Amino acid sequence: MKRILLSCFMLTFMLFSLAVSAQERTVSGKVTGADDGLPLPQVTVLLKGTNTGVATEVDGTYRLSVPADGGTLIFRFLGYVTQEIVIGNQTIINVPMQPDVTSLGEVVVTGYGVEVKRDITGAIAQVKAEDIENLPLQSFDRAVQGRIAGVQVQAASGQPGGALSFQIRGQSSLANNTPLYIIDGVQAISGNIAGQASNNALAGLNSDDIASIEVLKDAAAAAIYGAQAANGVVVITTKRGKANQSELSVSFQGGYSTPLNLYDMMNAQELATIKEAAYVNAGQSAATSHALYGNPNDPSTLNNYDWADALFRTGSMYSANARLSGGDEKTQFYMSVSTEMQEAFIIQSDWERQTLRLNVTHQANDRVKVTTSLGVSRQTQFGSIANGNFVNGPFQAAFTSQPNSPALDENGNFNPYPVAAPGSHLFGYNILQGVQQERRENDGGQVQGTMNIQYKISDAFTFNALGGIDWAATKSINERPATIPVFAATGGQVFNQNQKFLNYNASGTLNFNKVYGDHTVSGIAGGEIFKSLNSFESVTARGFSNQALRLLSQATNYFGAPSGSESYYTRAGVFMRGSYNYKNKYYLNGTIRRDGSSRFGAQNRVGTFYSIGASWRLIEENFMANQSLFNDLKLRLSYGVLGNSNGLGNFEAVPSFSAQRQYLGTAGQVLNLANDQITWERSKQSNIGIDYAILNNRISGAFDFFRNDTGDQLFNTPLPIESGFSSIRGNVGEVRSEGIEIEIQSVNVDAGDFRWSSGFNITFQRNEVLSLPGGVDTLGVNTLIVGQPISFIWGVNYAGINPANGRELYYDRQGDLTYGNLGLADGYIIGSPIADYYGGLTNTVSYKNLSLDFLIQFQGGNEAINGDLFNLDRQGNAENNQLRRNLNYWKQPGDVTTTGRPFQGGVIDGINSATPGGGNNTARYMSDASYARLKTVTLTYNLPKAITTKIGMNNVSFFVTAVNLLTVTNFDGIDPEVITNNSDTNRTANAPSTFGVFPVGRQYTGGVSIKF
Amino acid sequence: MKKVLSIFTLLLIATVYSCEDFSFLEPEPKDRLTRDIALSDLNGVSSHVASAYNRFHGFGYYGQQFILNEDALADNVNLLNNTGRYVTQLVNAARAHNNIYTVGYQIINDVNIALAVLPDLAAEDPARASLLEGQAKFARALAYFDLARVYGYEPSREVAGFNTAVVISPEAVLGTSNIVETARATNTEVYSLVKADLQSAISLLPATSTNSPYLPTSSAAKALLARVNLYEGSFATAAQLAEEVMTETSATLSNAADYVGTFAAANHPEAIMAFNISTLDWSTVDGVNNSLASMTNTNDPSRGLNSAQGVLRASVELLAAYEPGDVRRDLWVATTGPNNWEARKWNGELGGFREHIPIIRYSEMLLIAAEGRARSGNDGAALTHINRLRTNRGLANSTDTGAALISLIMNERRVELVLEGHRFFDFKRLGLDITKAAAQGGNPVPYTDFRVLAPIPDNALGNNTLLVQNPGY
Repeated sequence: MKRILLSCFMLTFMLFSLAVSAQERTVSGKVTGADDGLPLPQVTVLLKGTNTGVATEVDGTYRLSVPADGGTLIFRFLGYVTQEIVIGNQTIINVPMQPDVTSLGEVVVTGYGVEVKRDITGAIAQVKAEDIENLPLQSFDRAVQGRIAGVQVQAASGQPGGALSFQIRGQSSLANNTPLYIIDGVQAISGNIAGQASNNALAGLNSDDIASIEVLKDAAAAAIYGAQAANGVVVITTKRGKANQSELSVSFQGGYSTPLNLYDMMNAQELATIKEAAYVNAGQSAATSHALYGNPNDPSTLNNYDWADALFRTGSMYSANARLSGGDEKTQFYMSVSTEMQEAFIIQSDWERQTLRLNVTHQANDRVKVTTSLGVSRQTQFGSIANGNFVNGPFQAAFTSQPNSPALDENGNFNPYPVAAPGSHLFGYNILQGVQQERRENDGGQVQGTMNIQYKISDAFTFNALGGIDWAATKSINERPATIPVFAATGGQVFNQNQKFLNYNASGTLNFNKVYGDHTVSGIAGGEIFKSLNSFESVTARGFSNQALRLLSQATNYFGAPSGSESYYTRAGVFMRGSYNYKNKYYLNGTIRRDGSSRFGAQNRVGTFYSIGASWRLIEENFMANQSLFNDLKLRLSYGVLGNSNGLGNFEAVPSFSAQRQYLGTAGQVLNLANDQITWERSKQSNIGIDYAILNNRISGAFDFFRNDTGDQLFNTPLPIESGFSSIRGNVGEVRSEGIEIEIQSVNVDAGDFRWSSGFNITFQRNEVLSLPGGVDTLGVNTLIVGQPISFIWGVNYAGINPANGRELYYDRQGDLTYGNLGLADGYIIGSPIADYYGGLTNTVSYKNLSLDFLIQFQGGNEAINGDLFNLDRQGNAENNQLRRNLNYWKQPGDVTTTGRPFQGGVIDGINSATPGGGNNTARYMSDASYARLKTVTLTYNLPKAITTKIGMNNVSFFVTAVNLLTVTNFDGIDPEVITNNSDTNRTANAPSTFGVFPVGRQYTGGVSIKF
Repeated sequence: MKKVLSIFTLLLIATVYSCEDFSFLEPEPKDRLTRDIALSDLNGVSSHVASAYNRFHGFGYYGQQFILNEDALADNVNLLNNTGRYVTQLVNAARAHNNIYTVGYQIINDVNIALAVLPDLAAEDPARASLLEGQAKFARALAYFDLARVYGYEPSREVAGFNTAVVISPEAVLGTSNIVETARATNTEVYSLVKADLQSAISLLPATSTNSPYLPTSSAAKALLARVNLYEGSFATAAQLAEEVMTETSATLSNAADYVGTFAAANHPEAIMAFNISTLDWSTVDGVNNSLASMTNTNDPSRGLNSAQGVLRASVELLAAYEPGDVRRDLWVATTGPNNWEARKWNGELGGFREHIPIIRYSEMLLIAAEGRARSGNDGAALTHINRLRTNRGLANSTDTGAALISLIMNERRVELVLEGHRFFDFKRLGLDITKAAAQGGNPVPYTDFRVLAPIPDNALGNNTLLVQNPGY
């Protein structure tokens, strides 16, 4: 392909411009922006009805030969209202151009270019800088939450700086639904890049540096990215300076965070009561219970220690930002520095980030324009153990630890746990000591930069060469000092892990744009290469003479084998897009891209992806001329086939043997089964959309219907276990993700000083497995089922407590009542983790200098199993502290209760009452995880201009923000948003949806932003 | 316009026909080998054998559960600390059982690959090739024997004629093409395979080796064959083989004075076969989370067992089975309370809860020889063997005969081999009801109860349509 790529570029350079023939007289002038009076370069100036035209220079001037009898000039520029001016006998025509303020007039960044929304055939949505400024977001992906139809963003953890789940148009891939992120042309690293706490690679970019975020949702919009576009594309453009407009802005904010509703746990007396009952019911003595939990009737044996109170806190936050932008006609720059620190509402968890950005645009001469961007950042984190039933995780042990066993003795030293019988619960782990003394630290740096050289071949042709790089390195450190009893024997243990990530891409594109009278033709042709590398190594050291020492070199011994890996994959592709429109009324758009990936076997390494899109601006038709309701109306249609290779490991198609394990010093080796026929997931995506603006543009928005049928799913197909392998990656079947998106923007009130505008979006979605390989209906027992969504909750429905004996009853597959001892095949689908609908509502209310913004985000129709309840809602059967509601437990036949009969150990007649058996979930712990959340509220006050000008400032605003202020939900748990197993492809049907998660917190901040 | 169109048409054609054979897209992994390199010499073979032996000491297998389950499923232990482990095995909850299905077949395929390529490579070093073949066959025999006794009944002990054991993998799986669904074979078919492999291993393996007991010698293979014969009910053969092992092995019987200490030694002098665990094999949390020492000891910083889980303690019935003066009783130490008798059999003496795991000891050979002779009518020889053991455990000679002698031998097995993975199978192989401790209700699990066999795992059933589940599940 290399040869052909080269020949593509040669062709490009051999292109010549179309000459403009000489005319009789000359018109000249200057084009400026009507809003700021600054010159507008690159405005198309066209003589109507001809192919004659020029683009304005850097200073906004133009000169054009016109016929002696004049004619009409058309001035066209992205983001401005097109103007037609009759020349008459004028020789100088200066034009102030009006910005196009309707949403359809917005300029959006598409793949490898920019377009006006009105001209687009695909489904693209946008979040702009002003929507997200000054929010304590940590990372920009959070900024999209609730703001765009068809995009579902959920926090995967409340850890400050943690990664999020970001899905565009549902889950149509079984393997991976992560979109492609393009930051100023760089194919960016995304996801978690650290070991000791979730650290979002995308948090390396300060969201205050972002000019716009575009989400390319359908095939017509994303196909230019071909084989990696099936999950949609998120295009981020950072801010740039404007010529002759210097601006310095500084902002500062500070605040604090608090936990959301924590569990209501028993006190020592209450736990002692239910434990006594459990022991007695199990035929053991009350004295045994008293020795461990205290005597409920003897206060002298009871302590009341609040573990949650010791572990949760009010965390603080601050951020400071400075941005400078400006330049002249030739060179513009944007520079920013920032620092931000956020503490979580749990001890020993925080995140800190410093960023530096320098973006430069330079017009070297009439033909050459260079655009560079460079971002540098450092993130450090202190993390908590979360997302699992971990005895050393505070989100588990803060609630399960026994209140009768204080963390500290009277001298303030840590007690053994539990005091009455050390080691008899939580592996003897005193969670307060563990969290305080263990260090879980991430320290990482990231550099992201691009350079684009644009060469203007002619008015019609430009050539762009772009190179981009994204490099991240993190060091994760875990220190478990010998002062924690569990680790005492190690003499202190330090684990270090270094991880490195590098993405680079380079592309060459030839852009063509020409107006032939009523016909506008544009096109892009280009080629691109991409490589992504990652590596890590780690080592564990033990035995430190003093627990203050922590360098690997200071250890006396090293534990286990150092581990490490080195891996990479490459992609290369060539692509073309052609667009045509007639009279700004009929639009046609076609894209084709051929991509190769090193991840696939030699047989199937290359694939071709394409899309076609069409749109019809009905508003331009004559039959719409006499109506006044619609200000704009456009119909969009698109279809395409896109690829996804994210689900495949880098070398999975290579049959090979890898070194694993050892025995008596002989290195072990195992076969990696490989499928060299494996190929791309192919996603057939169709979209029907309507863009509208009515009532003098007071209401505008879009309706979209989408359907993504993704076949050749990269998923494990089962193998007979007797082969020594349980599965192999294959191309497994077809999944449909479809839905309806509705977007409405409205200006509700616009009465002088008082203005109220709203934005509402909602997406209804459905997911279904269409087919499986070999025509089977079910893969495994419950892995995938035709006709069902790709994720479901598998288990048995709960019939409640048997009033006769206080035991839990379930309904098996036949609908019969059972106490348990079931197999997986006795279970059935009891719920869905996939939301039926989700969306958001934004409102901005402003009066004079005061404005109030708020965002409500919601989702509904999904359920979740809260794993925490397996520990906390067990009627005192085990050693864990219990939810206070368990006090109302079953006592005698006939009692109708929600809590069963306490029974120490929980195993009655050979049946473990905690689970129905076979790995089945129980609906007892399932609840509706629908919620609506007041995500952000911001109140801003701008100082009156009269005052600011006196003190030499352009703008001063004060703001206060609250995050996650209110949540409405019936979810039986702490946080319906952070449901770990719902995220992306973690779709274990027969495991709890969530367990010991790090929930999000509530945050209050206030600050000031000053512009000079 | 035409020019532009033609240029773009050219580019379009270039686009569609490009990208083939681009070296940039050729994957060149640094962390793995291709088959022609990996299996080109005997090192490749020995790597697969090493992989198999490593898998044996996984925590689901000899590393923990397969050792302790057999006491929990029977009557030797009670629950001390409830950390969620062994709670259901102790009460024989349905499906709470041994699960070695996946690891068993992984081991089998590791050695099948080794055995498949060995013939072509033997010329390189015939002596080494024989050794590797012997080690591979020992591993395969042990894996099949364990699968057969977990998932099926012993030959002639079938309940309701259910003689189905486990699948015999037809050949080495080196690619997807030679994977076929196969039905479960009968117990006698699996036993035949096990015995053939062991006979072959006996002839291939050396009598002594510097790697003994961590890799098998011919006496280790013979010792396993003795055990297999005992399970089959071929008592005279079992005894004969065990007697041969005792004359051939370099392992020695420890005496009463040394007995307790041998379990705290890095290398057990009685070990005929053991699995070696290196620090390289464990992650940092494996010790406290999964080791034998953590399951059977409570927190004891003085022995480096910090925050040990202490899940299992001796049952009252077990302690009652020791005769006065039995040094083996000293392996149980009362710690946190008068009834909390903890074992000193698994001590994690190599640090961080780590220790090597003997799976066949000299004293088991004495017990097999004694039981084999007694059950085949030679009480005199049986008494000689059992009294040799008793002498070395601080007990007086017995003069029992007949049923009393057999009962004495079975009790010796119980107290000698507790926490070593035998008790449950000693009931099962004889078709006896599984007795239970009073703390677990004391009601025996009848031999005919479905819970005597482990369930075939759900994922195995889902992945092979020819598999049938065991009765009752």
